[in-house]
Amino acid sequence: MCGIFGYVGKQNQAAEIVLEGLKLLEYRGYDSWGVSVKLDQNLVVEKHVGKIGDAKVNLPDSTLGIGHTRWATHGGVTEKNAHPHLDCNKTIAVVHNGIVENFQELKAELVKKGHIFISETDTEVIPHLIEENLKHEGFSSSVRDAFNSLKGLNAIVVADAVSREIVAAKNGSPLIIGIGDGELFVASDASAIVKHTKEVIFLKDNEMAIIGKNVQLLSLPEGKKLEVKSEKINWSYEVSTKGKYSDFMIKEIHEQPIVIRNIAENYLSQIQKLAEQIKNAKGTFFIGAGTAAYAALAGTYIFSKIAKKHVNTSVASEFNYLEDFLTKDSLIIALSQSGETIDVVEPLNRAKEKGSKIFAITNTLGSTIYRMADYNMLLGAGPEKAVASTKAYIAKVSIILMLAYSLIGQDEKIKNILLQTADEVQRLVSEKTVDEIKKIAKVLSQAKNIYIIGRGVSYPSALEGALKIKEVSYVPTEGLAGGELKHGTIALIGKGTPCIVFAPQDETRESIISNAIEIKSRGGMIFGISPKNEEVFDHFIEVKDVDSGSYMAQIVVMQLLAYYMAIELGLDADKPRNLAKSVTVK
Amino acid sequence: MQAIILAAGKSSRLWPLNDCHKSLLRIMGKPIIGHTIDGLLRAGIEEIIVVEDSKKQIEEQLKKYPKYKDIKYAVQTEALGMGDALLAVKDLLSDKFLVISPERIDCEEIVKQMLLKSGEKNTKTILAASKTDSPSLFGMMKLDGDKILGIVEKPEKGKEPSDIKVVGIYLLEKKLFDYYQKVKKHQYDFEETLSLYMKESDARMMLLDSEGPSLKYPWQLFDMQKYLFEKYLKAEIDPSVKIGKNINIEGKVFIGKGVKLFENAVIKGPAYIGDGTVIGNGSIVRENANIESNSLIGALAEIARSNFQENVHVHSGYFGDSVFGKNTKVGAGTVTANIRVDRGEIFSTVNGVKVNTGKKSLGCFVGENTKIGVNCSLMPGIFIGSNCLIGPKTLVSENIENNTKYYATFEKIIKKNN
Repeated sequence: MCGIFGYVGKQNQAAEIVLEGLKLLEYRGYDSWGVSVKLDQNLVVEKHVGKIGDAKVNLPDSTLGIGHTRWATHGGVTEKNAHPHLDCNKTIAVVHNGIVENFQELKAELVKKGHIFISETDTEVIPHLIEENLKHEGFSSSVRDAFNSLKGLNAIVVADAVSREIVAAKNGSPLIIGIGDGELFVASDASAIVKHTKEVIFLKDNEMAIIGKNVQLLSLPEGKKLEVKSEKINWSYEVSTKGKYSDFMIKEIHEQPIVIRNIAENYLSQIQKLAEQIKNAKGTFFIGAGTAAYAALAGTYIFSKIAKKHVNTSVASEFNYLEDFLTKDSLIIALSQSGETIDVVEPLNRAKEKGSKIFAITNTLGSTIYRMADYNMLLGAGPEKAVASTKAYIAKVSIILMLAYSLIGQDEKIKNILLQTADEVQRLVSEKTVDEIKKIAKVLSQAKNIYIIGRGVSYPSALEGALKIKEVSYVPTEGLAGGELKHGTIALIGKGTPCIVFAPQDETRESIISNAIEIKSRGGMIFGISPKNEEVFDHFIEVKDVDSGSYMAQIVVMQLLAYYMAIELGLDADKPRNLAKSVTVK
Repeated sequence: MQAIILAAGKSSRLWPLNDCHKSLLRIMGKPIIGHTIDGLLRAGIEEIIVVEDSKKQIEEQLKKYPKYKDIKYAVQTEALGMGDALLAVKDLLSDKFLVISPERIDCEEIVKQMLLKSGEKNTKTILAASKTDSPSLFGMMKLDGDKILGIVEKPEKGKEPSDIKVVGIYLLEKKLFDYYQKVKKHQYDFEETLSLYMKESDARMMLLDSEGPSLKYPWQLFDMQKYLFEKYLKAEIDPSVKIGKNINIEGKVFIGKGVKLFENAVIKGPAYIGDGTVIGNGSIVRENANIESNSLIGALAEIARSNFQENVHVHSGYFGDSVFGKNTKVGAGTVTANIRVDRGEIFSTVNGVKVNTGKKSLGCFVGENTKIGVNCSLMPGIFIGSNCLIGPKTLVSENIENNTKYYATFEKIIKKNN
C-alpha cells in the first residue's frame, strides 16, 4: 500500500504540486517518500526516509512530475529503496503500488543485459524493462509490454522525460486521473485530486492511461484504444484536510454525527434493496478485516437480536478456510472502508468462482471490492485518513442496524433511533464530555494492560474498543465477552488493573454488572460506560440510552479514550507505527 | 517553396512489383509517394506538383486522401528523361523549386537543411550529394569546396572528378530552362544542362551523411519498410478492433479499423495491420510484417519480415521475407523458403541477369492478381509475375513471367482395388 501522485500541465511547480498531493496521501503509507520531475530530457529525483510532514522539496521548476509515499514490502526503508525508481538513462521514472511477484527472474535477465540496479526493490525492474523495450518501440507500448510481463496485482505510474508523458497502468491498487484546465493529475485516491479538479476518471483494472496533452485510455494487455469517459466528484476538498483539528482521527470522530444522519436520511431505498437480497439468499455471510470484522460480528448479534435471523460472520482472512460450503445462492456482504483490502478481495474472488453473490459495503467509489461486487452500497463517510478507523465503523454499524430493522419492516423506528444516536454522539464529542474523557485517558495511559468486557452486541464493542486503544496508544488491551472472564483471563486481574465495562440498558445489564463485581473483588478498577452510574463503577462515563444506537455511542467513547491516550503519550494518532490505512498485501 | 516530384519513370528492375508506378507500392497504409509528400509537408514545402505518366495512376491513388487534395499533377507522355519531365511542368514553376524523386521517404531532414543552406548565402541552386565507392555508375561532381564546377556522367576508371555523386534532390531556379533550350535532347540532357548552367552561375552541393533507402530492386522494399517502421510506426490499436481470447500483442504494433484477431493470434512488433484485415486462429505476424487493408490471414499462418499489399489472402503456411502483390491468393500449406539449404547468399534473376542480393534470408516476390495453389514450395529469391496461376503442389525455383499458367503434373498415380 502506497500513495502515488503525478502531474503534467501548464504550471511549472510540478514538484510542489506533487508533494502537496503526497501529503494528502500520506495515510496510505509513510515510511519514505520521493518526487521526480522532468528537467530537459532527463528526470531528477529527491528521496527521503520518514514521514513527509512539513517537508519541502528542492527540485527545479518543471511541468511534469511524479511522486510516491511508501509502505515498504520488498527492500528495507532506505532512501535508495524509496520511489521513484529510474532507468539507466534517467529518462524514465516509475512509482509503483503492489508487488512484482516475478521480479527476481526479470531482474536476473535485465542484469544479464547490462542494466545496473541501485535498490533492493521489486519496483526497479519496471523502469529497466521499459528502457529495454524503448530500444525498439515507443513509450506507451514500452510501458504496456513491461506491465504485461509483471506478475501480481500492480498499479504503476511512469514518467517519460522525452515524450513528456505519464502512463498509468493497473490491475490492482486504485489509480484516479484528474482532468483539469490544461493540466492532468493521477493519484491513488481522489481526495488528493479534488482540490485541483472534480472531473475524474477511475482507471479500471487492466486499463492504461496515457496522460500528456490529453488523456487516452487503452485496454490491457493488448493496448486497444478505449472511449474516455469522465465522472464528476460531488464532495469538496475541505473534507480531506484536517481543518481546525490537529489530527485526522479527532476530526473524523467529530464527523460521526453527520455520517449517522446522512445514512438515516438517505439510505432507505438502498437498504430495502439489500434487505431483499438477504431475504432471498440461502446463507448470508458478513466478512471484513480489523475494525470491519468487528462491525461484521456486531452484525451477527444485531441480526439475531432484532431481525431474528442468522447471519454468519468471519474474519476475511479466515473465510478462505470456511467457505467450502458456498453455493450460488450464498450472499457475501463484504465490509471494507478502502475497498482494497487484499484479505477481503481474495475470498471474494473464490466466492465469485462459486457463483455466490457479493454485496460490497465500502467507502471508496470505484475501489477493487466495489468493482467486483454484484451490488454496492457506499458508506458515504467521506475520506477516512487516520489509520485507526472511526467514522467508517460507525457508518457500517448504522447500515447494519438499518438492514436489521428493515427486515422486520421497522424502517421508521430505526430512522428515529439513528437520529437520536447522532444527537447523543454530538453530545459525547462536546467539550464538556471530552474533558471528562481526557481525565480518564490520562489514568488509562499509565496502565500496563487494560481489559474491556461486554455482552451481546456490546461484546463486539469490547473487541473494537480494545483494538482502538492498541492501534493508537500501544497499551496492551484485551476485549472479552463478559462471561468469558472467569474462564481464565480473570487470573490477570490484580490490584488497580483497569477494566472497562459496557453496561447499556439492555438484557445484558444485570449479568455484566455481576461480572464487574467479580473483577472488583479481585482488586480491579472499574470504568463503567453506561446510561446510569452503578455502585461498582470507580469511574463512570455516561452514554445515554438511545436504544440499539447505544452500541455505536459507546464506541465513540472508546474512540475518544484511545485518541486522548495517544495524545497523553505523545504519539501520532493518525499514523501508528507498523500500520497502513488499507492493507493490500497478504 | 515549391516541390516537383518526378514520378513518370519506368522501373523494369523492380519486376514483378512494377504493375503500377513503384512509388504506389504500399507501406503502413499508404503509397510510398505519400510518405515522401508527408516529409515534404513537414519540411515546410507549401506547393507540390507530381509529374506522372499518362496512366495517371498516382493521381487516382492520392486523390483518395483528403490530406493531399491540394497537390497538382502534370503528365509526361513519354519517358524521355528528367529534362523532358521538367519541361512538362514548366508553366507551373516558380522561380525557385525543388526536384525530388517519389521514393525519397527520408526527404524531411534533407529538404530542411537544403532550405536553410539556400537561405544563408542566397544560393539558388543546390544539389544533394553523397560519397560513393563506384563512381562509374553515377553522375559524379567536379568540385571546388562545395561549389560544383560540372557533372561527369558515369566516368571511366581513372577519370573520376571526385568520389561525390549526385543524389537526386535538387534545388533549382527557372533560369535553368534558358540553358536547356541550348542543349540537344537526349537521355542525359538534364545533366548536360546543369553543367552548362554551372559554368556561369553559382551551384553548390550539400553532402549527406548517409544515402537513405532506395528502391531499384524488389528486395529493397524491405529496407524502405524498415526505415518507415522505425521512424513513423506508432503503437495504436483502433477501438473497433475485435480481439479474441488469448491474443498476444507485443511491441510497436499498429492495428487499423475493423481488424479481427481470432483466438490465440500473436502479433509481435514492429508490425502494421491495415483496416479490415482478418488474422485467423493461432496465426503469428511478427518482426517488420506489413499487411495492407482487407487481407485475410487464415488460421495457423506465420508471417515474418514481409509485405502484403491490399486484399492478399493466405492460409496456413510460412511467409518470410516475401512480398505479395495486391489481390494475390495463396492456398493452404504453401511455404516460402527464405533461406538456402547451404545458408549461402541468395541470388535473383533481374532482367535476365543473375544478381547477388547480398541477403542470406530472402523469400519470393509475387505480382498482382496471381493465384497460387495449395502446398506449393516457393524457393528463395524467385519472382512470380502478375496474373499467374500456379498449380497445387508445385515447386517454383525459377522466375515465372506475367500471365503464366505454371503447374506440375503427377505422372504416376497408382490406384488399386483390394
